[in-house]
Amino acid sequence: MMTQMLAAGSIGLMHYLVVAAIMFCCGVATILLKRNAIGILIGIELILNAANVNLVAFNRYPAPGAGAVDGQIFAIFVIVLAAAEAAVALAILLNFYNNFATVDVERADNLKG
Amino acid sequence: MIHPLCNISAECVCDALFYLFAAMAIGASLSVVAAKNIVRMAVSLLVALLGVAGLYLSLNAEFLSAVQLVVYAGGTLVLIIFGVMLTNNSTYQLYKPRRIEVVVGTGLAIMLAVVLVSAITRSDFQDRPIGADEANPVFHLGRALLGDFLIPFELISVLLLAVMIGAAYLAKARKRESEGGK
Amino acid sequence: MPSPALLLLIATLLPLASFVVLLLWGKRIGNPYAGHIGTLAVAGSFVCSVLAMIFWLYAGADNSLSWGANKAPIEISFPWIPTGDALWPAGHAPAKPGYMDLSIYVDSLTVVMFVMITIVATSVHVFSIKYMHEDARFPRFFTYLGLFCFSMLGLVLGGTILQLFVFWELVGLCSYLLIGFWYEKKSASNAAIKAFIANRVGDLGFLVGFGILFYHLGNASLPALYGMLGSAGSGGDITIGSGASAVVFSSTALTLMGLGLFCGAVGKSAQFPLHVWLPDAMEGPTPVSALIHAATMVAAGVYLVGRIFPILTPEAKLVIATIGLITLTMAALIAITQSDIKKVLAYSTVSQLGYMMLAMGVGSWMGGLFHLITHAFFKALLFLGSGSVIHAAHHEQELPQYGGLAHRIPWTAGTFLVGVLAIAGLGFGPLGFSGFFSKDTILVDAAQFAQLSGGKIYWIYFIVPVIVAYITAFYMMRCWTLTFAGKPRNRHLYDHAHEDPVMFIPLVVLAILAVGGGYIGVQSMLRNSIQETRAYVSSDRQAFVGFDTAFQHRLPGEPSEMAAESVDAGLVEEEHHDAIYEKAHHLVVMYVTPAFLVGIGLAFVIYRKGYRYTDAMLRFAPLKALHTFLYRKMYIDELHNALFVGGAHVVARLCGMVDKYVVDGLVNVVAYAARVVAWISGIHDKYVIDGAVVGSGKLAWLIGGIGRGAQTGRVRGYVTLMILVFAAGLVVAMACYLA
Repeated sequence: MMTQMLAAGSIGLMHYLVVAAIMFCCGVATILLKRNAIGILIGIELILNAANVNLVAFNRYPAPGAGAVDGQIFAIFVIVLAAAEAAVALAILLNFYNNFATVDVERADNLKG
Repeated sequence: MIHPLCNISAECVCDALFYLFAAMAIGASLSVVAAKNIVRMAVSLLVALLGVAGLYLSLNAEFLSAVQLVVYAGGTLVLIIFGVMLTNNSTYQLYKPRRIEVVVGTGLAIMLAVVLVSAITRSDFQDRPIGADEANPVFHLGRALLGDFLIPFELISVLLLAVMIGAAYLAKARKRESEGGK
Repeated sequence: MPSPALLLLIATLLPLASFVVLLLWGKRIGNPYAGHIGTLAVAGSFVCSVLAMIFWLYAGADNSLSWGANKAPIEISFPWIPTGDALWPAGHAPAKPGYMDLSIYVDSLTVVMFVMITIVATSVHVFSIKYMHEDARFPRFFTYLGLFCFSMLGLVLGGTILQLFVFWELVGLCSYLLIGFWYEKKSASNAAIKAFIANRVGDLGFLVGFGILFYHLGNASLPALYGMLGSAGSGGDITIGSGASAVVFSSTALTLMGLGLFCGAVGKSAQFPLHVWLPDAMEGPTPVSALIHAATMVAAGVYLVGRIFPILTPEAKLVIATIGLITLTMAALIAITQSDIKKVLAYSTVSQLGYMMLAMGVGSWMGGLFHLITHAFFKALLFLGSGSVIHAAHHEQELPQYGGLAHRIPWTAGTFLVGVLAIAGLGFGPLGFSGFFSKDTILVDAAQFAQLSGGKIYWIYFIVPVIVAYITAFYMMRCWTLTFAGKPRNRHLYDHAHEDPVMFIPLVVLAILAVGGGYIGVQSMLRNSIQETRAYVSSDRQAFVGFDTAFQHRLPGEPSEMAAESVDAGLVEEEHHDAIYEKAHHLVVMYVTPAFLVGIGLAFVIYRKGYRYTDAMLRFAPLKALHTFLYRKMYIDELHNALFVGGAHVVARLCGMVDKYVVDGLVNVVAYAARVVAWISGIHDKYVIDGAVVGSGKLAWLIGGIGRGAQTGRVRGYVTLMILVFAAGLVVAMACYLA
């Protein structure tokens, strides 16, 4: 199967999905491993990008009946939302930094029961 | 289809480009995970974003590729770097995770990767790209954004406005508080 | 031979280049090198413009070229914004249906305007290097000047109404920036805002006019307009196209369109009632007043009316003439009493612009534009002269503080006097200062207009401007006498006054032009422009009659057979027309030529001793009242305040009353009712609901205590758990799938 995937001219949907899956896992690992809040934000960006690669790839290899650019439209929305999320997250982060003088998320445990 | 400049077929070039961009994206993602320093993570993220932009190009999504470069590489990343700068005293201060966390996290991620990749390679996707003439993305994108997707499009602009106000408010509240504190 | 169009394009772009350079590196280049860069750029523009003029005239004599002076204009156009072919029915025949063109249009008028603008701009740049040298924002000043020169030249070069509008706004912006250049002064920033708003009011009209135009024609390029609406001058509806697809452009819409575009000119050229911004604009640096608020930008309105002249209806022209008449009279009267040297010049500018508008309205196309050019020279001279005085007097602008300065700053005094004589119209027969020829051209045409129009009432368009010509000479000489003649009224100021060669060289250059402006062929160039337009537009459509309502004059020294060939040539017999011209000419020679003598002599006699005689006159109460009325600028500012600002206040107060008594009353009633209901339900709450609530609260406390242990508050712990569950779910799903 691997040799078949690597043959010339055989790049298909699957290749993109695999790349996206690996990126997604890297994003998850980043979130799990970093204690720096900005690091977590970076992990989230990686995950969103992985999802976007999926969307655009499915747009290129569409299911029957799908619109010509639906996948890309969704990807655009995701990009916009990612930008919005980054802005808000950083604003919150700055507030957090202001209160705790650190960006270590372990310190954000005020909600501890 | 043979490229006139050298004796390599166009498909071959496309494949090579795909592997190049995929390697960029994956390698940089891995380096994000591995990096200890937050600035290095941000730079790795930049490379990963560039790789993804390249992947978009190879998927005939030129417009998205450009948007990726402008919004992500140009906007979001700058925002993140600003965040790094504004929380400056901790830039080089490393927050090491505990060992148990590293083991659990890495293990989980690898498990997830294995499950996902095996699921993908096993499934039977329709694998025929849409024809070249249908792929005039910018034209269709424009039509779709101002046609079928007009309402989401407008909603998202309202959302952006809300985010702008919200972010400004949060940042401003912080300032006032710090002044009041001193 | 390079095409004049290319040269003019280079001339336009050079100031833009200097603007960009100074914008990016102005601070580093610093004082005075930033000024040198700006001056070099605009001097380059001047050289290009002069070369273009030479080539243009040469091309007119060269038979191998189809364009050139007296032949045809150059039009280079690109389709810019497609506005949809679907808007145009098939078979409809505008030149380029459904396109906003981007075009360059060069005819003799363009060339003359370029030379005039670049001469004045170069003089002002040279002058400013010295005048502004102490200013902290010296590079910024030249940055703005560069942008202004670019915009102004672009305005003249553009071949479509839309381009005109774009550059129109750009010059407005520069004007705003430069009036408010010393924005630390509250009065300067207020003046800038006032100028901006007054201009916006006018521009709204411009947009409406443009909308009407574009709606009917689908095109805004000047030749296309001339071709389609050339017969507007004779009144009546115009049908564009033929057969089923014809579009009727009714005469009412045509008039409205003309008046709308004229509204823009009212704002920009400071015509009544929007003139209020120009005197206030004197808060800007004096070189700016010379360049923008005397010579070029304020003349853009007249230029616009000149460009759309062939498509104006008679009704629109009558309105234009009337507005011009009101403006020139009012401003001249106010100018008599002003005590600030720059305010006097500002009102004199408004008055002269009124003359130009009047000229346009009565059909003196050539007179109006000729006066535009000569006025630019002598008014820039006067303003730079006042700048030199103000510089010498350490930024004192009040006439009562001056007096006798001719001894201290002789060059300024001399050149200023030349300017005064030019604006007063000194001259007789074939000899005279530039203002003499241009003003006479306007007045002769006004007299012809009055004769041709029939009714006696139309003579007002001749008689009033003639009287104002006397007043003009009077107030300008008053200004000169109070500044330079007599005894010094402020000894300290007098002793410290001095002038600078860098500042008076531009004055001398402009003085030469103010003297000789009548001889340098402006009139023949303007006439060429008419011929070119006529030839060009007639070449692919029916004969162009747009300029037939404009009077065309004999040039100095030209035999009379050539003269006065127009005025509805088919309708009016040649002899009859000659008689009209002769009568008009006779009237002007009789009544206007003495104007400068009477005005200047009277002013000199009265003001020779400073304010001694006038103070005596002001003891007479009615004169005092009149003086106050004029000194307060006829209370037009107050009127605007009362009408618009006050009106807004009244509306706001009304809304406030409605709020207070109607809305608030309703709300209060509702609130009272709510209070009653709340009291009743409060009793119910206390005994029935509270029991249930307290019980469920206790229950929640119990359950919360149990779940509490899981809430570590650690985000990453939650995420780990989430991913774990997700991954586990996937594994199970995979297992099921494989099984």
